[in-house]
Amino acid sequence: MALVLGRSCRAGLCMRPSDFLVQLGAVALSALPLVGIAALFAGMVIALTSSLQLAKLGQAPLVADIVAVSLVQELAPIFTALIMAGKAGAGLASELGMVTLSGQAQAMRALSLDIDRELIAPRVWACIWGTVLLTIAAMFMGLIGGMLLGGAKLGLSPVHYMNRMIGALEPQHFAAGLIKSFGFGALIAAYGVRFGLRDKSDAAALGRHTMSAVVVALFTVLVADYVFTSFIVAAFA
Amino acid sequence: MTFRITELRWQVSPEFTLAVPSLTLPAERTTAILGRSASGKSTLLSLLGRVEGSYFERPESLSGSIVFDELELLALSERELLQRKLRGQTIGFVFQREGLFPGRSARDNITWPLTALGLSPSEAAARADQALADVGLPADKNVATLSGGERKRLAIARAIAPSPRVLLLDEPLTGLDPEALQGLRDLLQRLASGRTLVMVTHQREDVEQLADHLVFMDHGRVTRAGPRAELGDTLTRFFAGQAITDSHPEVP
Repeated sequence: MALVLGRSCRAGLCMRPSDFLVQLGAVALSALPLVGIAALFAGMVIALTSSLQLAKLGQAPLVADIVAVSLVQELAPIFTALIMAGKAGAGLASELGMVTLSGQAQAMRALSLDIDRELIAPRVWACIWGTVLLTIAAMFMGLIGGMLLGGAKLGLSPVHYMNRMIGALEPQHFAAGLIKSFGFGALIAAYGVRFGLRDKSDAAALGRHTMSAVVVALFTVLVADYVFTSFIVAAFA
Repeated sequence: MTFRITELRWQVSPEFTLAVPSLTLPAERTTAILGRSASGKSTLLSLLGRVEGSYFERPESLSGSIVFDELELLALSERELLQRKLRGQTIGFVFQREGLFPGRSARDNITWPLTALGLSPSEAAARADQALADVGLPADKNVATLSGGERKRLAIARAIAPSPRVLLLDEPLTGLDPEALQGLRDLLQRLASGRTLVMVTHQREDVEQLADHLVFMDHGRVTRAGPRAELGDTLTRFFAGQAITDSHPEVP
């Protein structure tokens, strides 16, 4: 994994911006509707479940605070990462797997084409920044979802809800969420590339490697989330 | 541009090990590597061109030495190979699976690597057009629309466009129609002048028209090697369907 990320950093300096933008469009735009809808409903579900408990304590307006902090710091990054692991991770592993299986990767080596620059760096950086951008979109959509639910079920006015949200959110919540999403994107990309460019002889191996890229990325993202969160909690305790 | 192989050994799988204790492929000659399927011909060729294994992992079980032009090939990392531009510019490779770049035209399949080697776009385009003309292929045809034979021809054009001094050819003339076959054989014969060609082939005509030197392989071992003039009987036996297995019984 470190090998892939190290090479991406080095080759990232000389990759063509157009290659990166093409990959970013493919990764981020294609996942945007899915991430947006998932985040919207996640925001609504958190607002709904937390409002039931808070109403018993007479603290229903705190819903806005809970939805805002939990979405921005935790749920939006992890939701987006899980969707990206299934979508972008599988896409990377299968695309690069076909490049390997069809002999293109071998031909590129034989022609002195820099695989790091031509294939790996644009995809890795697109996956990382795509995850960050989609996390921002997920935060936004999740907050809207919470606000819609707060208005419809709890009778909270949008202005009141937004004021509470703004009061609850601090810069470190955004920083924590975005740093996590950057790390998650790096993990997903590294495993996608690593498994994609493994030597493979048939379609069955391509399928196995693609599945492994997704499973390993999902597992690693969840473990990394715990580690990141522990650091953040320790830092702000 | 001689390849000198010593104590080369690579356990590719539990069932297959390539083991070449000693072999020299002469400079500015055409060497044909012959043998039954799965005898290790393409594996040996991939090592000569340093495109063995996968991109990230150097095979752990690979050992020995391949000296090319006073350079120890196996000691070079992927990055060093890329920096030296040894592959492509000095050593051209035509693969059995052509490895063409889909979604690009025939010309773009050639100009992309040429520009990566440092040629200007106009110079690369001129070289590409010349190489495509040599193999008789239109420049603007998309790779997706090429027939099997045309794909082979494009793979050859892509390999010869940088004018490498060495050409490694893995069954370059299989799947071609008779007319194209003879044309490309003549082209390879012209290219062989002043170059080192190493070719894996199953076709007698390729050997008779092109090869000066022969290497017979069986089960990952080199069983015979030498000038074609001295191996006439072995060649006849090989194309009569007999296995050539008797040269190196001592190889472990």
